[in-house]
Amino acid sequence: MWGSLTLVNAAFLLGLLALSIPVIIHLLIRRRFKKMPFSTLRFFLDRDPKLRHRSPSNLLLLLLRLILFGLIVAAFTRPFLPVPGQPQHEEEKPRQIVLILDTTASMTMESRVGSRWHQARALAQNAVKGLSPKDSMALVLPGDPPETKVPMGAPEKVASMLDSLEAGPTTGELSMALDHAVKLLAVGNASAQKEIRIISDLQASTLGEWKSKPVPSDIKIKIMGLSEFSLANASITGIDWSGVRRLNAAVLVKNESENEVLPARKIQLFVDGILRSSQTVDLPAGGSKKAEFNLPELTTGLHGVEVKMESEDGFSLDNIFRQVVSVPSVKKVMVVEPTRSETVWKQKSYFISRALMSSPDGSPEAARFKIDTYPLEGLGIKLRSDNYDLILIPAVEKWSSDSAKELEKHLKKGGAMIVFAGPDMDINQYHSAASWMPVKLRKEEYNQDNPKYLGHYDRDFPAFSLFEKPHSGDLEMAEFTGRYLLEPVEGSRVLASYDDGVPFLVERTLGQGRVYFVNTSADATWSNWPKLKTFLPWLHALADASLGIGGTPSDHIRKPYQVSAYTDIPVPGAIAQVAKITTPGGQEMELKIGNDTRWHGVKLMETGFYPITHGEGQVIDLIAVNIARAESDMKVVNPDVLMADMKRVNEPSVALLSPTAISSEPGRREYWPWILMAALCLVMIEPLIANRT
Amino acid sequence: MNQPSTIDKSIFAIVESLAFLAESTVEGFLTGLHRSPFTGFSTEFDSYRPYIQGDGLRQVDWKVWARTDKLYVKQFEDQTNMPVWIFLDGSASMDFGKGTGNKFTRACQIAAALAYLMNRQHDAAGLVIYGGTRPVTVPPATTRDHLNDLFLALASEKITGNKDETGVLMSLLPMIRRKGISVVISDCLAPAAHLRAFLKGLRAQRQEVILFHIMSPSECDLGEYNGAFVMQDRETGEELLVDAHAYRKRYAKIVRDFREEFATLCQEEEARYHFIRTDDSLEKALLEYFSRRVEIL
Repeated sequence: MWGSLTLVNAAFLLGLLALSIPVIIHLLIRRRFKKMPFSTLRFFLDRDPKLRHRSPSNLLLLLLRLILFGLIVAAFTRPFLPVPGQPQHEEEKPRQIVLILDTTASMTMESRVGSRWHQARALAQNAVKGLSPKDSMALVLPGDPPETKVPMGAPEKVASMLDSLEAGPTTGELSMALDHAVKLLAVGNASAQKEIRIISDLQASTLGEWKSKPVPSDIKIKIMGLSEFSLANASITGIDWSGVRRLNAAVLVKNESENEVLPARKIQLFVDGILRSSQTVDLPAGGSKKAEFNLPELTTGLHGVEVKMESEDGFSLDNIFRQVVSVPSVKKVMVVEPTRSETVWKQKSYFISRALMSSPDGSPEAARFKIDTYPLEGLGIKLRSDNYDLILIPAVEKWSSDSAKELEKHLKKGGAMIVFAGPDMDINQYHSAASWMPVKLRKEEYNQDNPKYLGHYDRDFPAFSLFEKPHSGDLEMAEFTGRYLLEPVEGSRVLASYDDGVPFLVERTLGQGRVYFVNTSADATWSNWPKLKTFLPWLHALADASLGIGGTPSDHIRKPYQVSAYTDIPVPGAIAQVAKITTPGGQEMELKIGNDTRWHGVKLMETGFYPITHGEGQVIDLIAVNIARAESDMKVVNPDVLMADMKRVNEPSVALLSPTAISSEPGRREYWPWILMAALCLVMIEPLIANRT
Repeated sequence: MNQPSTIDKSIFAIVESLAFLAESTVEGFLTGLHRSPFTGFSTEFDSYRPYIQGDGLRQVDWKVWARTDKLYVKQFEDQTNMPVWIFLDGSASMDFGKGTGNKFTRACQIAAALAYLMNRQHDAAGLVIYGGTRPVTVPPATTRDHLNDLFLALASEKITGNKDETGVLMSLLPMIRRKGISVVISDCLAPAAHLRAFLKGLRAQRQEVILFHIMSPSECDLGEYNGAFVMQDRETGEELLVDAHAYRKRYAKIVRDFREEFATLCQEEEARYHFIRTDDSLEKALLEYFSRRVEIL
């Protein structure tokens, strides 16, 4: 009878090593007794025979504890005997099958023998037909995250689902789907035969962490690959952008096939759904090409840019690429000109005006600022009638009280201001009239023979951080011969200093506005900087920082999203809690901001543009969604290689403490409850023997 | 007596401290007594009697002669000295306890104090230390030098260990010739039958017997022992694992029964049983001896 005794968890027999614990404790305790001379033992020996037999009782206790440990280990191994008349052989057991059916974008490919999806569906339908009524099946689709399309149940449910199921633009790692299937089987019937069947095109790029996902050895794995693994495909992989208002788009096109030259293809560029340009490219085997497009000047706001490739390859989803471009609004800038010179290049504001008229990369046609140059006289009257985002002031010798007051109002309303130093400024008048200045000037200093250099600057401040990149220019090349010795006022911040510690750039926040004092001249009187190439990007970044525009112009190109069931999207600017997102198919979904400034778990299951609206349809953001880049990859893995790479573990597929594991399974007579009961009895007896109460 | 050929100098220090302890204890004890209801003996004045030929001139009260012109001799209460034997247990089991709490050390101090008191009262104190390889004997005498010999014997004796002293004790009995008092100081761990035979023998020799049963406090109730120990018998070397904490109550009862057993034995043998702990004062032993001595007179 006992010959057929089987252990469910034989690995727990290693727990018998724990038997050494009581022995060690016993030996340790024995050694610890201290020897004490005593006048006589007659009071112990004659009256209490129990004491004399203490050692044997200790041995009894040790024996009891050893049995106790042994019983606990035995209970964990779950010994059982088969019950006659019940099915015991694997073939007789009911089967629980999880079918992983790949419905990701790559499955829509049309090969020479037909669609990959049709092949896969036919295989899946055949798999369902081969099941007996006592078997059960679940359907899992790879995704991000994987989805249980049909829970474990009758195979007919899976069959009916297959009829309506189609492959789409989704993506998902096969390893995650496998892990999901293992977890599904872990809560299933412990007595059933477990099986996972995978039907997929086995793309190498979508396998994920296949080698590290543990799969219990009692789960049977069957990988059903598709008949053709190699296919020609060209894809648009992305766009390289340059410019801000007048954009230049370099569209990247790739031939995914390593050994097939593809015929020339027409690439079309659409902005907001209107065809703007097109050109033809030819693709060598395994090679990439760039198609350059110059876009016309775009208006301020969000623009959806779509690139399409006319192609006859089997995979059309990667022939379209979408991206959103955010064109910043043109800022209104006043440049104050204190001199009356009619020769433009002799004016103090000449360099700063010219710099702001250009784009940061020097191209003159894409200016981000609308510049008005205005004389110092009548500045107060002009400011009362006109609003400006930013005012730049080269060295002003004296302030009229009217101009100074209007400039203060401009700041408090949220305007920005950049004030430059220069020769012959009336220090005392500056202090009394312009109370909004971030510094108190002390003394003018000019030394042509001993120029100063920039020493320390805040490398996180946008106007300086852009020089942290390689080949972005060296700020320390600029020489400064004149400046003021000064003291920053309370509440202001020194952002840069000369090499001897005298502040160079000081910031002060006043109301909602910001004012910056630059401790050198705006022209070449005190410095050679305006003639150097670092001056233009620095002034642009300083102007942006003063206006609260963060980042670099390239941040206006929005990163596209890929199809996913769970995406986090950052909320642009400060908006109300609730917004709506509309899918390309026209379906509306509500978005709610989480604890941070993000919309969490947004479903982006289609490719295309998703406008996000707020209030009465005001568009606050636009999302472009493409298929995952990995789906275009044509490389596939052989099923045998996948089987060999799988990480098989000896743990049982059903968790030890799951409800089905605790109950006795059909066809078995399990003994662990009785063993555990015996161990419990010993636990109760042990204190009595140990003379404990 | 195991007499060394040359006396260790440290022994003199012990003798001196023993003598000082005995003297200070006894003098203090007697001063206390004078204020107590007990009347004195031995050197206490009792009455006058007319001078008869042969009386020593020192005993004549010359002041009375000056007033009455008659010779009178002072009569004292105690005119006789009595031999007192001190039997001190020197077996290995007596070597238990630390410092003055050691049973043998305390027993020596008791013996010294008793000897000093006896000498002070003109009783002849003798000493027998038994239980060692051979007994140490100091015959009774009343001189001051003799007292010093007795102190020296107490200070020199060391526990050597012998568990069977029955034969030795019995062999000592013939040397007791006169009627007197025998004081036995022992932890009574020898077999009861042996002790009973010895007490019987002493009684046969016309001795009034006082048994001082000495024990250390930790022997009484395992006071300082906590947890499990391997106890080793001083006399036999036998070892036993004992959980002192668990056994304490039972042990204390066994010891109480043991003491009662010896009290009964002494009562049966017409001996005075007196239990004494090593942390008890010496006066307790002196008072016991003193009250017995008064009863005898």
